[in-house]
Amino acid sequence: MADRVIPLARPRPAPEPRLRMPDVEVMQPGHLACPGCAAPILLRTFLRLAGPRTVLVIPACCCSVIDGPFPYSAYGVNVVHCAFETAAVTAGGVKAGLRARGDSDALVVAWAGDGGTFDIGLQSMSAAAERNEDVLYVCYDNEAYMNTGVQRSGATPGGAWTNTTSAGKKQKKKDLDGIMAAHRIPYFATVSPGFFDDMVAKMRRAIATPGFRMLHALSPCPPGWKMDERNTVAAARLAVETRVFPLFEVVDGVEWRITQAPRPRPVSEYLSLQGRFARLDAAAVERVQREVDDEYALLARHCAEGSTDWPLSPL
Amino acid sequence: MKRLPDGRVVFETLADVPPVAMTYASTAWNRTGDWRSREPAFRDLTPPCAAACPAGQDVVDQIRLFAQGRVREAGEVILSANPFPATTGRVCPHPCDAACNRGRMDGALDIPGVERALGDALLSERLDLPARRGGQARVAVVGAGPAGLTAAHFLTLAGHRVTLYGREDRPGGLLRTGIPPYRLPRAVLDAEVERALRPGVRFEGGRALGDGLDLARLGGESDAVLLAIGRHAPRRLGVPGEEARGVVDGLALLEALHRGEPAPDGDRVVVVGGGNTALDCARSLLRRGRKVTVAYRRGREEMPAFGDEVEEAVEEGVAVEAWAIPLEVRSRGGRASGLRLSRARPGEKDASGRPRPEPVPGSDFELPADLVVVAAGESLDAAGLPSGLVQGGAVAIPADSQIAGRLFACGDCAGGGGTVAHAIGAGRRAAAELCALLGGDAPAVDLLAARGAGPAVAAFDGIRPAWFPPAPPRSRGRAEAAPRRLGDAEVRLGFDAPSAMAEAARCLGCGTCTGCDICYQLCPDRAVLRGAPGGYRADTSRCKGCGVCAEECPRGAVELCEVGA
Amino acid sequence: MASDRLLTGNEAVAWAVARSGVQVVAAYPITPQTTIIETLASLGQKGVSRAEFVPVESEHSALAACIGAAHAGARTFTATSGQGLALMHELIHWAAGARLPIVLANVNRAMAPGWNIWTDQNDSLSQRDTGWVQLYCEDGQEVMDSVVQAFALAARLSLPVMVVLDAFFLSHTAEAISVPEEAEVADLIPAWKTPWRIDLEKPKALGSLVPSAEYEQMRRQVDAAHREALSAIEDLAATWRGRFGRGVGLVDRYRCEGADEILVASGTAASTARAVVDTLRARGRSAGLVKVRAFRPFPTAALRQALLPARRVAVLDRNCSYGASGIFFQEVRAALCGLAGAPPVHGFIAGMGGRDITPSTIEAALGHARGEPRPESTWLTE
Repeated sequence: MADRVIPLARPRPAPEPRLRMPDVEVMQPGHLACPGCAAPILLRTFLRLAGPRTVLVIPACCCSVIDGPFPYSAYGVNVVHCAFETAAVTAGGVKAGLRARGDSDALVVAWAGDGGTFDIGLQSMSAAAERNEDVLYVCYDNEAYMNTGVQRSGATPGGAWTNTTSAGKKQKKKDLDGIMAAHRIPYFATVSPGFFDDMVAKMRRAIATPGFRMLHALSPCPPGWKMDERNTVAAARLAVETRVFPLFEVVDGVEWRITQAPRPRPVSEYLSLQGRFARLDAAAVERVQREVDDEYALLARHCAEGSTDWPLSPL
Repeated sequence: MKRLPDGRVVFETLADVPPVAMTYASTAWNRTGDWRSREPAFRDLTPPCAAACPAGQDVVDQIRLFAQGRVREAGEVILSANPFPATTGRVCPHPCDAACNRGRMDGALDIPGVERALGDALLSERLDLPARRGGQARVAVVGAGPAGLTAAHFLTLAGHRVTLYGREDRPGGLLRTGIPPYRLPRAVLDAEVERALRPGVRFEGGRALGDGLDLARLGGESDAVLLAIGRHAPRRLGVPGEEARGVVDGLALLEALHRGEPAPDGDRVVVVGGGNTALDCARSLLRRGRKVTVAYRRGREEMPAFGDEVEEAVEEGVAVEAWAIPLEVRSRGGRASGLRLSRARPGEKDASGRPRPEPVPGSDFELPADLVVVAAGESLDAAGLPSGLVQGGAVAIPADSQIAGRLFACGDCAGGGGTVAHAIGAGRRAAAELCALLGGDAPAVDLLAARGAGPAVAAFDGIRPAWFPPAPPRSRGRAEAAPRRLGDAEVRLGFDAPSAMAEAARCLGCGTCTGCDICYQLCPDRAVLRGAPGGYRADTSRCKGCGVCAEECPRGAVELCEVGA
Repeated sequence: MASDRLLTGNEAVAWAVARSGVQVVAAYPITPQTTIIETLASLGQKGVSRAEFVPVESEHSALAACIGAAHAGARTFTATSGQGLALMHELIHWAAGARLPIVLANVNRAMAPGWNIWTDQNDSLSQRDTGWVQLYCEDGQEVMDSVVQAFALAARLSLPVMVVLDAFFLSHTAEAISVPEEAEVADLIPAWKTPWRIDLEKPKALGSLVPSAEYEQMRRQVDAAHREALSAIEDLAATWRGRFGRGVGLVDRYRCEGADEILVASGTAASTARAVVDTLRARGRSAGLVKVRAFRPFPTAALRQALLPARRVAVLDRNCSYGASGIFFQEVRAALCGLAGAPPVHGFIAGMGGRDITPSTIEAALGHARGEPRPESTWLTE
């Protein structure tokens, strides 16, 4: 019999962290998000970058429930819950109040869903942008009123099923990105959790930019989009790769830049992942492909006309 | 208001309720793990390169250590499986990079290039090999090719007293006699052989079974005998006229050239065969100024020679006649003057899966040839072996024989795979088997299992290319064709150290947790914890079973399972 | 030292805000509130007010901004009127439920349609159930004093306070008003220290989902704070009288001793009612006036004390709860209901849409009050 096999005391390669993130954790587990919800991925990441001197202002939306009921909170920072339409202006008020008491370094963040941004919150956000309030506005967009059980919003894409558009939404998704660019705010960017480094760089930049800045984040919702929970990040990635949700940023409303240009994939790959698009036949998918191509061409023209060589500097 | 030990808060009377909703505790007490019906298993799989490696190397670990600049540690890993990395990096047909998942992305890793660079770096490192442990037996290893050398090396490291017998006066076997220096420089081979013997292997050259070695007497002198005599007996063409002068065996030709003898006469050479031996013969003769044609009975794609060999040969000026079946050696005055062949076409597939060559009637043609080299495969040289030990062209020791348990065989002579890597793997496994019988610290046979990787192979559908920045493979290139023909300089170039490490850094690490932290960073519930032996584990008190970690792991090292499965 | 200035009611609001050390003002223009914020802006430019002004895009947003700023612990203020107050309604509930010390000046303006910029009380009284303290002002000095006291009450009680003044009759009428110095009132306004301010060291979520029993308990505490407000308003009034020699608390009783007939009124109508009382007394009628200043918390005990001795009570409403009656009438009658020897209470509606309430209007009311009391108010249309 062998005395013993040489034990494997041999070296292993050192760990190679792929994502450079600060080692701090702010958000706690035990929150009430559905399994596979992208919103806590976005918020956890954001809070690690923003740090504890952050005040979140959250209107009615999934994230106001995810935080947990009284007397608990998951987010680990100050949260001011506010009325549905008022995220942006309440955030501006909080910031003014903090300035008055000498805490103007604290970051004030309006963290709102698509309903509270595209629809009922549009007015107060537009005005806060026009006043250049010193607020970071993050819209985590799951493309419907999910918190109330999946009803259509202005952010719902054309053709998508919801409980109020059972034959598929007739109208196209509202172009909030164009609206915010037209406000000439200091910084606007789209982000996707499927492109983590790009998202982190933009979050950092938005945090560091004074004035009114906005991040429009795609936040896939497995129950509302009718897909397996494990595909949340993959769907967010495919949305970008199929050019349904291009990743770009706009500085002062005039400098447009596409920040990720992966090899394009056909839109059918994105649609087929989600049951909410199951009703689309081949002709409808073709129409969607044409629309996506046209919108992307328009975006590319903005970028060509308006931009200079703008390095994505990790501020 | 009372704080419970689990973190919850209760208001014992309504009078305790504050005027507004505000926070008293975090949600951390809430066991959302109770929601789950699936959960992730963080377990390494076998990378496809390692699964394909006949030597059983832990390819991923070696490459990643090297990429991290840890040459000595990469050396420890590779040498624990393969004592000849600078050699295999040059001559192995590298099924590893045919299997490399990166080949389905921006290009397979140049694994042999990295292995060669690592092997060369180790030659200048003078690594301490592990100390001899425990064994005391006397072991005779017959055959000093890669299988025998490997077995002797590991048996000696295990503490046994090993005598290695070789036919030639220096060890190496076919590495030395069958592979020309432009593919494997002598200095490299000599250095690796010396390192393999360094633990204290005793070598006796000029000894072969039936020629200076008697099997029975060896058995009497040793506690165990291991046959590693390879496959190098020539096969004949089986056509009329092959007894003429000027018809030689390919391996014999290469051995003669190795010994420094001049090549046989004949300006116009036809080499019959499509394997490495045929091409080595062709290119060696080309370098001696001959005009050379290689004739093979199937197509170029079916030639068993490793793909680059054929390309390099053609670049150097070797002509290739594919789909050509030899019919007859024509001679004049007892000396070969030409080879008559028939054209062939692909027929039914044979047992090897390749199309059987069917002669095309009326398509005979003749190639002028002063020298015909037959390199049509090798077989076992059974000299000195009792007939009861040979079966189906390979050494087979019957389990019920007297000598079972004391006589063993490994490598090509026992039916092995035919490449250096197969031989190395066979030699190591034989050493482990012998240690099981005789004692001493055996070498690890299954390196991947030893580090906890499961046997399932990490297929491409588990890879997430989006996480890997595009990085096309670096190319090494070849020496210029014209100067190559003139001598023995190495044809294929190697990476310099920075390029090798950069190429190594392209390794995806299929199926192997690299501590990238992506599962940890993406978990919506902070339910992936760091620090378990596999790198991470699920916190089942929190994990909701969404499976994002499993889906996003760039290298397929996380599997989503049903709970309770 | 306090200084005398000729100020309209709106200007008095602005000076009071400046003297109260307000830090954040958010407001949206609406006639007839506009001169409040214009004056504040001007005082800001002169450095009299140090408040940061947020020029919001709607009244709803104005109160939202104040709610945000108040959560951060800042002293905040807004002003509005009519439609604007109605637009804020959702957040009027919010500010009280959140127990924030916001002060709002509402210039009573009639609700549209049709467009009417003149005064009645339906706008402020539509907010009576929300939990705000409501103080109704009779003249410019009372406006000045009430706004400063509002900040004191708000901080003490953690309740928002609405100071109400009539459109044009008060908002745009100038009087000689004594304006205290900031230092003379600063000690009366406590720093607002509660656990539900944003604390960057010990973060918490404010306003999360609340289960039913806890919610009810929280709302019960709003009501309890209003009980406390009854004495807080009186205490503050006493301090004010001691310091400045003027002012009333929950109600003001004018010539009620031995009065057979007592008028109950609020706002500028009360000042007309005073004149009527004097005229009637001169004619030998035993008439008196109870002016209601605090409508929320409703001063039940004070009203009972003032009204029980009378033979009849006539309540003037510049408002109507359609389908029921005038609102002050409802609540006064309820306060006396079932009490032994309580006088009959008569309700009268006049002056809606800014229609003038003249002395003869009020005399007519007293005339009607000699008849049988009716469950609904009598509209004094002439």
